[in-house]
Amino acid sequence: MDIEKAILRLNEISSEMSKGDISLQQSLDLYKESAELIEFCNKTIKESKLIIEEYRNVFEM
Amino acid sequence: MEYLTVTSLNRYVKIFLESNEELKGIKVIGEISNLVLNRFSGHLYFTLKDEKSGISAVCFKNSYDRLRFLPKNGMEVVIKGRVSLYERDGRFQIIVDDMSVSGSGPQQKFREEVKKRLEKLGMFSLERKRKIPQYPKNIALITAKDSAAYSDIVNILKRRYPITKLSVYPVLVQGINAERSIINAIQQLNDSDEEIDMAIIARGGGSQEDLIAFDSEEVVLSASTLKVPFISAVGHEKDLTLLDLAADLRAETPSAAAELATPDIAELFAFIRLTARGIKGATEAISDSYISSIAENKIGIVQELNRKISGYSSEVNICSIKIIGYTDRALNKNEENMLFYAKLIEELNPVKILTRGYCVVQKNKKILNSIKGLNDNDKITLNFIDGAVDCEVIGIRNENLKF
Repeated sequence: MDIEKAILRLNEISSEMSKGDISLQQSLDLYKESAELIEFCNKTIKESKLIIEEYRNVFEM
Repeated sequence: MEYLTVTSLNRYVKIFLESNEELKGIKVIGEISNLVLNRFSGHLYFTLKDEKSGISAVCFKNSYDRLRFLPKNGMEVVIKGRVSLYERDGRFQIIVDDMSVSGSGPQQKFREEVKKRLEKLGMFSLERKRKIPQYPKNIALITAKDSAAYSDIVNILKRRYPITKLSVYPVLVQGINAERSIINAIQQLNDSDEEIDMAIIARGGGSQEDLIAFDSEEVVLSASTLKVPFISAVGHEKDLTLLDLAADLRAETPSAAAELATPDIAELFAFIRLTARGIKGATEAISDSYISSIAENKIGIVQELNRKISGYSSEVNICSIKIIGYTDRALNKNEENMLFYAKLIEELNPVKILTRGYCVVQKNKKILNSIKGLNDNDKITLNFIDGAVDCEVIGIRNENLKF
């Protein structure tokens, strides 16, 4: 899994949920899946920022 | 009758000839033929001839050893000598004191014939010429040790390119043993384990017969087998020997050969310094361009990375908000449904209906919702909100309820 695929899936979930004709259980399942994807995305973004910070001095030479 | 013995006659004629002042120290020109060298005595025998006549000639060892070239059949020579008679055979002969190459037409013809034979073998073809190494580490010098040519070459090499090694192969460059000496040196060089890059075969200026060894067919053929390219430098500018023609490179003089063989180390150092400066400048320019390129790229990289992260972050947030919204909506929808049904159920609660004045009719503990099944005198129970009444059916009317 990478962030691009995760975001793609989040958009799919969002689109699916926007239709409004899905059951509560389906909504909860999608909500749970999206929560995991969001957590993964946020973690990836946080790690990316840390990497950028770690090498900042190299780029500022 | 008086007579002479053959011996007496021959002796008489010999003395007669040798005492004749006109026949002493004469010079005779002719072509050498039937040449024979007696290996034991070291004397050379041949016939000197022209178009019409011939005369036996002998060159005794002491004179032969002093000759400046190796006589060969077909050569036209000028002989300085005296006339005599070989007593044993009564043969009229000329005793050679000295000999030189004539330099006239027939001698040129002899040289041309040798040249043609060598040419036919491809000895002078350009295809045979090898490239002289630009920076020789070891040069073989084939020349007379301590000669002017030797000194000139050594001096120039020391001044011009002192880092090269010089391996000297000393040879005789004139006289009857010159050819053999040069051929042996070439053979010795070819057999040597030394790492030789090139050779110089050199001799200073001299008369035609002094240089004749370098026109020798055998010397040229031997030189063609040299394992390294060679420069020939024989005589002066005007002298062009057959070895010069066969050489990989011809120098007009021994000094010129040394200059052709080596670069000038001072010029070389100047060139190296110039090249080094050029390389340094070019390297710095490349380095600068890389630094500039890296600087540009690193800004771009950081910007692009931040933009991408920001984009992703924003997209995740949007999705997050949407999904929370949709989930809330789904929950709310279910909650509304739940409330509706709860209200509905509440409305349908029979206890609540009883408060509005209705009552529940039971017969034998079963709820009745119709008159059907009821008869007069049946015992029924009317259940109110606050209690029950036991009744008896006293009449049944089949009509719809009206309020």
